[in-house]
Amino acid sequence: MSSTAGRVVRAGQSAVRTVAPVKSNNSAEARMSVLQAYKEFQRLTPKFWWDFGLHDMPLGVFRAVIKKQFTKNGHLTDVRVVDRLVGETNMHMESIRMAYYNPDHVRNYLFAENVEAKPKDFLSKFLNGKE
Amino acid sequence: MLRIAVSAAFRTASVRCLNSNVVQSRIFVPTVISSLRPTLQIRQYSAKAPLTKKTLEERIVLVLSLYDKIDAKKLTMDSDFSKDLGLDSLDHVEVVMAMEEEFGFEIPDGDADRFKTPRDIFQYIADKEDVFE
Repeated sequence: MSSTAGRVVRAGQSAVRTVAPVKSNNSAEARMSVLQAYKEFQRLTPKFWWDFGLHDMPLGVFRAVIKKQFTKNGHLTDVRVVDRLVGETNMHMESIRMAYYNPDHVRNYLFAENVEAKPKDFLSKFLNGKE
Repeated sequence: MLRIAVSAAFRTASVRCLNSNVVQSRIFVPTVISSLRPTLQIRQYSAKAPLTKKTLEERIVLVLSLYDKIDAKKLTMDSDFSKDLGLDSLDHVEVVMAMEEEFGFEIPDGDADRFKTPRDIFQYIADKEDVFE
């Protein structure tokens, strides 16, 4: 905090930081891009479901799983963060189309809550043979 | 000496044979395709079914009532998607996708954002598909 380079330091003046937008200029544009990504993802979903051998669950359930991936980020308001996530989603879709992912990795990613958590404290690490 | 000469003769003969095959196929195949199959159409579609205001409304209500997040009992033409039917924006996207599939044309996001009730969808499709009576 010692350097004042690039900061507004005059007292009484509200600090305004202007940042270059990633893609969207305002939250409405970011919202639009999220909805577009969602639409594209839902169009991809039947192929995704079939190609990655996820048809042990019905397609409707799988669509809800995909939707949950979007709604878990619903609280975000920073446009740049939203833009970044939309970009990541587009890359995921490309990788799904080109089959760069493995079915097991997809399952671990989508159902992360079912994956056994890694040990955190020393004793459980020790008992698991990590330390 | 004789053996070498004979094998060389065979080799040139086989090469010539191959060459003539290649040339023949190159010339021959396109003419067959162009003469036997003038148009190469994979799928052939019929025209869309003619729409009236009544059938349009029925089809919209049917699609909406088959969507699992909409309660068919609450559904009317003037019920609000978000307030009355309890859909969020992502569900709204799915509803619009279902409409696109049902009526066979794409609805741009800017237009889809303005759909508040089934009646809005009805009006939009009636405008796009020229449904007057």
